[in-house]
Amino acid sequence: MPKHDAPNSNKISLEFATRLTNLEPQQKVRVIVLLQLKNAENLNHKRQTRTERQAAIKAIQESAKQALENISDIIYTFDGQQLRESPDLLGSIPIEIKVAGVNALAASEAVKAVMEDQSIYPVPDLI
Amino acid sequence: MSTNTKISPAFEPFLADSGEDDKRDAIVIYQPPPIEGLPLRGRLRELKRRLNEVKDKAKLQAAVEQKVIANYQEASRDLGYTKQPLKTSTIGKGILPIANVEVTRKTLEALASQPDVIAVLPNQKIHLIQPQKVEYSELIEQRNKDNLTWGLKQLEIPQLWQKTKGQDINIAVLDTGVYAAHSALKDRVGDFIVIDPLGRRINSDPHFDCGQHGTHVCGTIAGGQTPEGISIGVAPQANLFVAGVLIGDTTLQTLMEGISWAIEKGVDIINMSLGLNYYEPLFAVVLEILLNQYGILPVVAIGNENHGNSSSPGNAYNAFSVGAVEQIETGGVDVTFFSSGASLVFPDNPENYLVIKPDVVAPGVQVYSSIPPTRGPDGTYEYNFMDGTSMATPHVAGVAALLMAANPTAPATDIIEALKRTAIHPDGEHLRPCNRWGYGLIQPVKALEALT
Repeated sequence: MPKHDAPNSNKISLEFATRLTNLEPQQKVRVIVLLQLKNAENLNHKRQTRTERQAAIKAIQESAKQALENISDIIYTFDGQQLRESPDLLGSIPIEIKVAGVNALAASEAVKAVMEDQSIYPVPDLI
Repeated sequence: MSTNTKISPAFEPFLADSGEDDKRDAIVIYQPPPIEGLPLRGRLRELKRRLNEVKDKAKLQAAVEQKVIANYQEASRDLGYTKQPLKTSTIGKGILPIANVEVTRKTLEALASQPDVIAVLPNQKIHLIQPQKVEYSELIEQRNKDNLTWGLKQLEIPQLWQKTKGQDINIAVLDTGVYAAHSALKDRVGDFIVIDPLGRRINSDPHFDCGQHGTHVCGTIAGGQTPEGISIGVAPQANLFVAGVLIGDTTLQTLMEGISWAIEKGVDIINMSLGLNYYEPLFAVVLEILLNQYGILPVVAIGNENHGNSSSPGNAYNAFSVGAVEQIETGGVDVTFFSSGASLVFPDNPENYLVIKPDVVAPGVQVYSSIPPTRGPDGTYEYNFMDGTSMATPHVAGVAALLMAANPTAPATDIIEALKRTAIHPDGEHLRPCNRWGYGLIQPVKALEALT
């Protein structure tokens, strides 16, 4: 895939887009899809009670579930596989999918961002 | 690229005392041939493939290097260096697209003018950055006198303890795990989970640490006292919820699962002394959800890559990121050499055109805290000193817990704001924020006053 076909930079980081351009469209990658959450009220002005936390969890899960249904065709079309049964509490879902599918996901209104499932490591101590 | 921009400005002092024909060693960096395939990641299982690809790459580069060298030698001969040709040599096994060449004032431009040449640098002397003298005996003496670690003393934590010790505040630590049986962590670990590289949750009893990192971080946040009566933890009555997300070859999926678990557990603060492999600005979306949807305060290490660098996710625009300070001989503190800090510019993003990291700094050198029992030459140790922004981050997480406990209705955003606003930059308020100190060294007592 030539660089000029790189997907929306608001939804995929430049670094990940660059890595994708080095792959064939049929190759598969593991990504974290952050789903578009509808009607998400900004609750940062107060501390949540347990009940409010549960309500926030429920709202995000329901919204993410709906968004996931909206991208199920893309997942199917590009031979994708959900690596988690349902979206997590951040409204994200890990997916393994063809490179071309990543671009399709990024183009979907139901998707807020797509991140590569990259390695993590402890910030090392220096002794 | 013009010839002038390829020649390092460091040649100016390097050639200052040289005549026109005096020879000097230089390093030439040339354009490597394009490599097909996915840029490699640093996983152990990829090492063999990486080695093979590096060997192939070196072969391809050798042709470019020979061309550059041949052209340079021809140009040198034209400039009169026929009897004593300028020396050239490959560096190492040619894995990097660099070579060693002799240059004179006259040949430098001929070398830089070649299209395959990217840059020419003087082969200048390098020197060891001398580690500062670590004087533990004085530190230990002072600590024993204060019955506190220097970090807790520096931050005036005992003053906050008169009001609260962090009771009922839940802090998630996403790390290498925790040795919860440690006497300094007695009754502090509310729950523990291992998230494996496949993102699965694994209950484990006993709670364990696959290294020392997580237990050390936990000790600084909520540890009690050593057998000698030295307090190590900032918020010794706060509850810890520890997810082992750094056990094995873990990825972002593991971290996301750990964060989800922490949300379920009702945490108020998440401590992340961890980093991603490469820059991922979109992690800001995750931090946005934590802050705006769950009111959770994420505290993230900025990294140990020195000034001019920063580590993801700490460098996301909305991360509350922490750099490290150390004690200095003349008294007071200074940002330590390894603490990362950078200014990131995003011309296409008017809202976050300039992101300056870290946000604040806290004690992160010679931090004394708990570790799993470890056998040493003189017996078994359960405490040690560690350096790193990983150690500064839990100081801030602990302070945030105290502030939250003292102000049960204050949202996470207010806590962040109070810590930034009251932090002190030693060179004056007008420099805040800068990419060394951020807004400055946190001042927990002042932050508490600002919130109440």
